[in-house]
Amino acid sequence: MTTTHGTLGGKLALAAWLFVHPIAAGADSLEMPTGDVVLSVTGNIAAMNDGDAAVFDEAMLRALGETSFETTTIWTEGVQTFTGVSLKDLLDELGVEAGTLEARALNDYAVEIPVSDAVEGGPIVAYARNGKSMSIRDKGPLWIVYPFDSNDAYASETIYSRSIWQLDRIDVQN
Amino acid sequence: MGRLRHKHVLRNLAIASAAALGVAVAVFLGGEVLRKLNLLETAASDNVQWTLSQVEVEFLDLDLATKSYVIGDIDDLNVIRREFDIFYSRIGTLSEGDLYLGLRNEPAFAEALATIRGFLNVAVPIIDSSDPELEGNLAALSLELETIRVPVRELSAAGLAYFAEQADMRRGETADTLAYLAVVTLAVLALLAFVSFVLFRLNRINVQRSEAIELSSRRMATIVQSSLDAIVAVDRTGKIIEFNAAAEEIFGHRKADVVGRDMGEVIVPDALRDGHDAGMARYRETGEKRVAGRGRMNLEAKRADGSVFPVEMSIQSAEGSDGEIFVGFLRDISRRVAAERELVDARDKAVAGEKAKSEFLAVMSHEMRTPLNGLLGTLSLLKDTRLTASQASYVENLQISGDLLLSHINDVLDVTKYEAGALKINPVPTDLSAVVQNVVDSQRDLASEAGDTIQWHWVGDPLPDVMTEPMRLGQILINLVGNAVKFTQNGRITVELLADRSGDAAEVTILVQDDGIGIPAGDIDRMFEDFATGDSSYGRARDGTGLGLGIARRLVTALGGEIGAESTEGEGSTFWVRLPLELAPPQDRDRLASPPVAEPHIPPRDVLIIEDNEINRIVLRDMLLSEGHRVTEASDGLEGIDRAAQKRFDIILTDISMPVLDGAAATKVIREKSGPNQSTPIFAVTAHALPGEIERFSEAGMNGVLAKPIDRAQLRRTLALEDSEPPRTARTGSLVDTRRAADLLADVGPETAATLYGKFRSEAESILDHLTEPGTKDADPTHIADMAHKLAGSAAVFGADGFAKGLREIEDGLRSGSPHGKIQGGITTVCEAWARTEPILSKIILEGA
Repeated sequence: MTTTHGTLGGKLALAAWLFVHPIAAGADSLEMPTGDVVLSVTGNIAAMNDGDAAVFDEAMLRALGETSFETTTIWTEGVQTFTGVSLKDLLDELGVEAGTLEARALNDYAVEIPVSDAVEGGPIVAYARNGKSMSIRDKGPLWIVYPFDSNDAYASETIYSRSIWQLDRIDVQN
Repeated sequence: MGRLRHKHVLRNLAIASAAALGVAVAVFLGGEVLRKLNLLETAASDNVQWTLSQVEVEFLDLDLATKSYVIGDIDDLNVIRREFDIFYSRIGTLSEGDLYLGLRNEPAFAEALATIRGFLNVAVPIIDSSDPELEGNLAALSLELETIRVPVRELSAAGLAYFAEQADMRRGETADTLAYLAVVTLAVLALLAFVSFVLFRLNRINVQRSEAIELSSRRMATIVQSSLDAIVAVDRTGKIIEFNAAAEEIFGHRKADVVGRDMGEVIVPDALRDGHDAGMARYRETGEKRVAGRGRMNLEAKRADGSVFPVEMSIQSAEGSDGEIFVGFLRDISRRVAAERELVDARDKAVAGEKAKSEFLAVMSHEMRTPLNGLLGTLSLLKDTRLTASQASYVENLQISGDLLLSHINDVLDVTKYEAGALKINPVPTDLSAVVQNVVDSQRDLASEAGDTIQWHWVGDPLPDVMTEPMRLGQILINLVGNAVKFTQNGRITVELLADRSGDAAEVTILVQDDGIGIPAGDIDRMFEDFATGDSSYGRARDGTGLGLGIARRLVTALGGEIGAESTEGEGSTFWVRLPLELAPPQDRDRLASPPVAEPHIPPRDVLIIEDNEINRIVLRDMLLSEGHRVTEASDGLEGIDRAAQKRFDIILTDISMPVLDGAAATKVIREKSGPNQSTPIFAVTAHALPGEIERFSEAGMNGVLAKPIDRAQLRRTLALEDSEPPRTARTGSLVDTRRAADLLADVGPETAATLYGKFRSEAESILDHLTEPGTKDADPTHIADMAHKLAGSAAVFGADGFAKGLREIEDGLRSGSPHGKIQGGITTVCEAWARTEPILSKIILEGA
């Protein structure tokens, strides 16, 4: 698994900013998406760019860092390489530290994911499978995937149910 | 012990195995349960029901979106495209996901899926086309959608049925696993229960065992403490580890003071310390134990006050917790040792006293016999003088009493000789028939007088010559036959000989049977004891010292045989003698038995005794018989001539003064008649040892004279048919009467004679020292006189007549207060006499020994 974070300077700047403005609001903290919006995050978040929501296009997500791992899933055939932003990085970006994520998919599937799932080596919000962007037909554009093969604890129905594909919305709840 | 240990090991092993098995099963089952739980937990089953129902929902969404656009409810074709993509994605999931692998194998599901995928393949180009094209094709798409409505439904229905079935199966498996788990759990519980039971039992056994050990150890402690023997235990270095109450008492140490100290230092006497230390050192080096386990030993031990006392001790080794220990049991045997010593002293004194008594008896008997012989000789001389009838009768009574006394004394001498161990048996080749014939012949006259007939015979084949001492055997048989004659009137006396021969040995039984008065049953065993003289006792052989059968018993025992009697009172008695005998070697058998004497070998002689005095005749006859000779008797000169005419004799012994025809006249007749005994040596047996008489006898044709009383040596010389000496009278005034010394030797046996002589010699030398030492004149003359008197008596016993005479003169001189010079002369004489006497006596007594 390889993880590539944003520049150290950026992170430090963000941390400093968070320190000075603990409950900051305002769209100017996040870039504005330039492409199609693939994910919108609402609820108890610290960073927003579209009213009280944080919206991301694929480029913005890619800019948050890239984490890859290989795993099999019960929904696919053979070993897959998933690439995306780790849930932890995403939530860090949004200043989310606790609570529950209510994730929703295009097909109206919804599931609650505790923020505590977002750990190093934990789930990612995948935007590519086997090196290619995922279309809706292909469970895209976003798919929260856990590294099932590298941690047996993830082989449970609860985790399977949290592996939401065709993700497009997240509402952060306390 | 080894087997027990082996059993324990096996049992422990079994328990350990069971426990290990239980643990293994538990671990396995735990693992299995975890695996199953894990399986349930990780069951790769998403919410399949939701997914399957979602197929239908998403199909309907697509259908709705399409229809909505057609009727104008919506105007965004992308909505249709998105719903299509979602449905497409759903079908893709069902077609590819591992989760649905099993489901895809269901024919109904597969068929439905294939139909739907067929639709998707047709629809994709339409959906991906431009908006106008899509719009144009929407009606067709809607129709196409209708074609998969039923398959979509079937798809989800088949899926639901499949997963329901799968769930059932999994539940069944889970139930099976749980049941299995329950069974195995029960089994494990049972095993645990069993192990618990075994452990409980083991524990109980251990508790019992430890209680038993505790009990036995307490009991042992009690035993050790209450033991009367001292018990001292030491470890392998010799340090005391136990010291019981008896040990405290015996050694005078307190346990607390000695535990931990070196045993050698505490109880081993200083004199034995080196040996003890060396023994302990040797044990430590080599493990060699010389004392432990060797049973009882008598040693010495040391008390606290340093005194040493005898102990009886036994040491055993045992295994202690710190290696080998030694346990010593010690008993103070001071008293026992003292008692034993007293006992030994008492016994030594008793033995010495007994010996002294026996010697005294022997000497007294001997001393009594010597004058008695003189008395009897003189009596027989008196008988030959002219006497009135009553005087003759008195003399006869005197003679009978004297002979009886002599026979008693001889008996006593035999007994003492036997007791002193002087009775030696010298076996010589012996013809048993001849011995018995002689005995029977000797008793025939007495038997006739009592009206008895007497005869003897062999039962079965006679034995050839055997090795025994004929004189002693004859003495035994004369005793038995004499008894039979004495206690039988007008009856029959039979002597039977039986031989049980095997090879060169034979067991000979001689039976002496009579039909006389018999013996009361209660007296039979007592008869063979000394002095067993009841009023009518059979034991009073030879007119009854009461020693007759006692002597016979001793002689039989000396010959290695047995003697016994059976009797019915009033019907008669049977005496038996059983002797184990060896046959004489063939080369010796032609040589007939002879008595073992110092004198030249004398073959058995045929002897004719002519003697009117019955007692004299019997004495002479017994003497001859006991020396192994054959005797024929005649009671006067005429009868003697008759007997001499009938057979040839080797020698004829005749009395001189006899009624009818005297000895000299009879000799003359025998010499003149040309009978078988014309040239047979004839000896006079007489006390008339006067030179004139001797001349008369020679003229009558006699070869010599045997002086009365007859002694054996003289008789032997005569029977040897050597040139006879002129009759010898007692030579008074000679220095040593060697005959007396020799008689003493024969009577008391060489051992006693040597002892007596030793005493006599040291007494003699002691008194001579007294007499010759310068201080003599200051010594108490009465004391010296007493000593001289005593020594003179002893000297007479040994025939040292000259010495005795000198001593008596000194005694007389001292007592009468003679001048010193005269006594001095006597002393010189005595010294000279002793100097000459001593070698002669030593030669006789010591070389004879």
